[in-house]
Amino acid sequence: MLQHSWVILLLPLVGTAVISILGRYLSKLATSLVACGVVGLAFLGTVAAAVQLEGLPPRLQAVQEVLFRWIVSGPLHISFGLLVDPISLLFMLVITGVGFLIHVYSVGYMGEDKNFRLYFAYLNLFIFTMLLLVMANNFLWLLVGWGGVGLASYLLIGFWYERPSAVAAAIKAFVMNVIGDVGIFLAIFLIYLSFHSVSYNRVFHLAYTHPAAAGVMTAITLLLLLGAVAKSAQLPLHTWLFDAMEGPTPVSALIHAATMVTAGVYLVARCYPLYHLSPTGATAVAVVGGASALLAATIGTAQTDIKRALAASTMSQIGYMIMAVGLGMYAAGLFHFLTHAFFKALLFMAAGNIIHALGGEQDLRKMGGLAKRLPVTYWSFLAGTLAISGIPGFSGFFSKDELLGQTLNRGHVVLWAVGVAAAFLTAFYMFRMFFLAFSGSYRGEVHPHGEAPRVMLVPTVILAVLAVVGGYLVLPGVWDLIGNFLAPAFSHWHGGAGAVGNPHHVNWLSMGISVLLALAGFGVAYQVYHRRAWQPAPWPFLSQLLYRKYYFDELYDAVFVRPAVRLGAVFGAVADRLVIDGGVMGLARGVRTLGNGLVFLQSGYVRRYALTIALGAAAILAYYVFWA
Amino acid sequence: MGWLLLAAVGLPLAGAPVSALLGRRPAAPRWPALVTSLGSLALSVAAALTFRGGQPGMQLVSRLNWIPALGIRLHLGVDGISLPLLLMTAFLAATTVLASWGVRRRSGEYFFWLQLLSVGMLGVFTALDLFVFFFFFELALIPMYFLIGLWGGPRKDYAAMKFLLYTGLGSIVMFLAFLVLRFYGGTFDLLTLEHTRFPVPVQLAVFAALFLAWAVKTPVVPLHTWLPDAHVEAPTPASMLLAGVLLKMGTYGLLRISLGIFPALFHAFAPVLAVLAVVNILYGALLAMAQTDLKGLVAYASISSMGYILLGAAAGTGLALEGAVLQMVAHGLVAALLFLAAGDIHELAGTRAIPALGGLLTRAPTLAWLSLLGALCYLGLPGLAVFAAEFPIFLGSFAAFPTYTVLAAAGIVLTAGYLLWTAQRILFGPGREAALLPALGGMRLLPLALLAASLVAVGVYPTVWYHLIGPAVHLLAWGGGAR
Repeated sequence: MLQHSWVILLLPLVGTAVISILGRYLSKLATSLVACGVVGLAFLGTVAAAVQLEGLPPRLQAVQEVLFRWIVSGPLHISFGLLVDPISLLFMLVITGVGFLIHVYSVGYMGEDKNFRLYFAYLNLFIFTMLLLVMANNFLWLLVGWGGVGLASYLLIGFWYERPSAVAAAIKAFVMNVIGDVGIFLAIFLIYLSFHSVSYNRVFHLAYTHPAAAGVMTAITLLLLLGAVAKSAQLPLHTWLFDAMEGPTPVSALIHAATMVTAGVYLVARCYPLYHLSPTGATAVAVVGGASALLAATIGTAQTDIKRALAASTMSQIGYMIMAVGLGMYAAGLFHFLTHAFFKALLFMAAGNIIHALGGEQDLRKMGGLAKRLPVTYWSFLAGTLAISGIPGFSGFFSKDELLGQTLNRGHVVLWAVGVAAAFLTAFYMFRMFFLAFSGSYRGEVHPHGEAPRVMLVPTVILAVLAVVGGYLVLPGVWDLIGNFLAPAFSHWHGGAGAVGNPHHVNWLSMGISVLLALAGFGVAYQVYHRRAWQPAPWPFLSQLLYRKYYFDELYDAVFVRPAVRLGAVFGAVADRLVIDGGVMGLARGVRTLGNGLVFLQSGYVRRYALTIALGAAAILAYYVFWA
Repeated sequence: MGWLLLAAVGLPLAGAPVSALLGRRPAAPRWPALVTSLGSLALSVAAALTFRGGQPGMQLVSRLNWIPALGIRLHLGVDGISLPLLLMTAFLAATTVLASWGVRRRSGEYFFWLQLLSVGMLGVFTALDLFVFFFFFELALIPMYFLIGLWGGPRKDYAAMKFLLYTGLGSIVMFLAFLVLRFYGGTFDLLTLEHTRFPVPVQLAVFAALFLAWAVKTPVVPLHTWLPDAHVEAPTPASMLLAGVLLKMGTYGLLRISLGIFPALFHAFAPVLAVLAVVNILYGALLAMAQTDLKGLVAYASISSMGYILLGAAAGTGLALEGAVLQMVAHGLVAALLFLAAGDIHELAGTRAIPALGGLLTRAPTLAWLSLLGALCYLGLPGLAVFAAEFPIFLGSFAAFPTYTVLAAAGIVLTAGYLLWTAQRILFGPGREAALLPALGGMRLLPLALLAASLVAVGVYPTVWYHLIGPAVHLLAWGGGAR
């Protein structure tokens, strides 16, 4: 499989093609089988590739495969090639594995939708483009995948296109992502100018043998960060993620939690040799991540929509990962990516079960008392909540503490404090959500249905199990399977030193404090929300500020969107119509009043026109002949 | 093999009178047009297959004496710059005939003009003699005037007149410039003139005159206002060719004649051209955002896109020039698709006013999807044709003009914004009751589907095009850096 990894990439594309071309002849069952089948097969292929790769000596654990030449022009050679190494494999496993579970879950969740086939065509397209993003062996095809996941995300956020809010959200997501795309676009230009190549291998190699100026490296890494920030919904391009919740919930689970939004983490991890060369760029990454983690966590405390609250937590958790990779703790960041994929996909699926049972209701204020009605969902959501809150024994605890402990070990006290504060808030808002949904008595109007069908529950439970046990891949002081798996990828090029932490160097102080704060967060949430009716927050200004997400949307609208539209309108009305056009047409009118030639031309008779042309041409030629 | 080009250019000339004579039966004149356009396409493809890629210089050259007294020869030939444009033109001419399949009113005249237009367009990209070039240039202008003036929308007279005034002015200036070149160079032969040295004042005057001619045609802001009017009023197939091919005559002339004959002047002028390019990109995008007429939107979007070609030309690195040539092809295809889609939407819904449209996706899904594909290509989605062209342009121009390139890249964000905003308003959302007509049949969707397929093909595998373009363009390149 390792030598033919293009099969893994192509399978979901085949699914898209089959469903969109033969869609009308396929039953819903057949569509489901095709869509889930191709992703399931891709997962099995990825597992096989992972096993093969593990069998290779570490220095050979980066398998490249060039498929065709995209542009060959003078000095520019860009091929379409794939790279399979531990970093891409980890992402591929999550994309196809979690992706498969979410495909299965979608069969139930989208079962009644009139555009069932279209949905699966999109979802397979997303898997294809996401695999392309992580499997490409050069920056250009990374960008192709990067744009492709943006497209799939756009289509799926706006899937219920008859809702204006969904379509507006889709556009917002796409445009903000295009800003990020432009960042990567420009980064690629600088990379090409500096190293005359866009392939990872050559660029990462030349970055050390023929270093570019420090300023150039900083510009490259900051521009890449711009792309990462847009895709991973980090400050200041984070606002689209909340609106993206307009999409179907399995989409939120897959694209806006488990996979696509972590592409920024992938990008920084993939480019570690570049970030190693630019301490400024790396610091910026870490600071953006830390700030996003904390800011999003505060936003999460005030949301009333269950999916928007989860979106805030996604932004916050990705903030942790971005901070980790910015600090060079690549294994820790990627480990958190893995556990987050489990528990956040789980939380979204459980939320989807609730929304399914309540006939589309997403407002936490209209939930409550669902524990008895939805027992499986209750236990699953609890597992996810415990995991994300960092309660010992659950997966999030291992990955978050690995991450925070290393941050403190490396002496980044401020970022560590930010991370710990966010951990407290995380436990608070997650249990707030949990209590509002499940404890107390039911506050909604619609009569809740029972538990979701089995096709939705089974994937939920599988992820619940993973959310609990997934953390034991790294047991502090004992083993570090993730680090061992990833280590070869960080030995190919310079700059990977320290990517994998020392498993025997456990920071018990950090662990103790963050566990205590997580428990404190749980305690506060328990006091305020357990078995209580909904009550507005006592500080209206603050809660409104948080609920409105610090008014970023309003700010961007006032500063960027409306002026651009207005500028266009002004140019259209004044500059184009009056000044330029008026001037030119005024001239024409002047000419017309002077002579009758133009009126004659305008008569529309072919003969006259032809005659004029002929006479004119003849006159010019005659003049020329005699003159010469 | 020189006859290939002669035949490709001449075939529609033979078909035009046949169409005109068949005019009594409204459904008949389209058939000669279909036959000649497919014939031209087949001959152009044959020319491309005969063409030895990877080599600079003219191939498939033919020279026939035309006006011996003046030394004017029907001198045709193609190189890596003109061949892609020839292919694109022949392809668009054929799709345009398909898009005109339903024309019944004065159809004899209609297909007469349409085929004459094809002769002009195909001729411009193969002419190697300035007089012949001018002849074909005019031959493309006049049929377009009639297509707009006779089959156009409510303000067709105004639009056709304005089109004729502007481009006619450009033509006069161009012709005078050619006469001056003939006087000092002793010939109209382009390849000879490329090796002729002219006195500096002559160079300056001719260069300025020629640039004015190209600037009107391209169009370069502020000489662009004929374009939105012409587009809005023109019948759909004429819009397709106007945006797809006629605008490219300006940028083609810029590269082939201005850069070919006056390289040193062109290099000196490049920084100015870069500024004009950026103005085009941003101004066009901002105005596109403000349009309420769908065709007006695509018209201003075209002004914006032509800016990327100018930017590539100004940068002058091999890469940027290659991208500029491919962008001519890519924009030709995608603009034709969007104008066709706008025309179909108009026909379906009875209006092109964006605020009055909505929910097209439910009513006409295939049309909606193909339009969306066009819009995505237009905004430079990686993997589609425009990206394959813009990427080298930016890569090349970034070396020469980093600031302008960053500004131009901002145009991409604006483009994504207004195109998706438009798609939101007309494709998505709840359906409007105004539109009641049934969805278009398969025959109507065929040209749209062909264009969409071409966008994917060029985007996924542009190497074949660059293989053609590269060697010819590298002869003209002068910029350093990412050469």
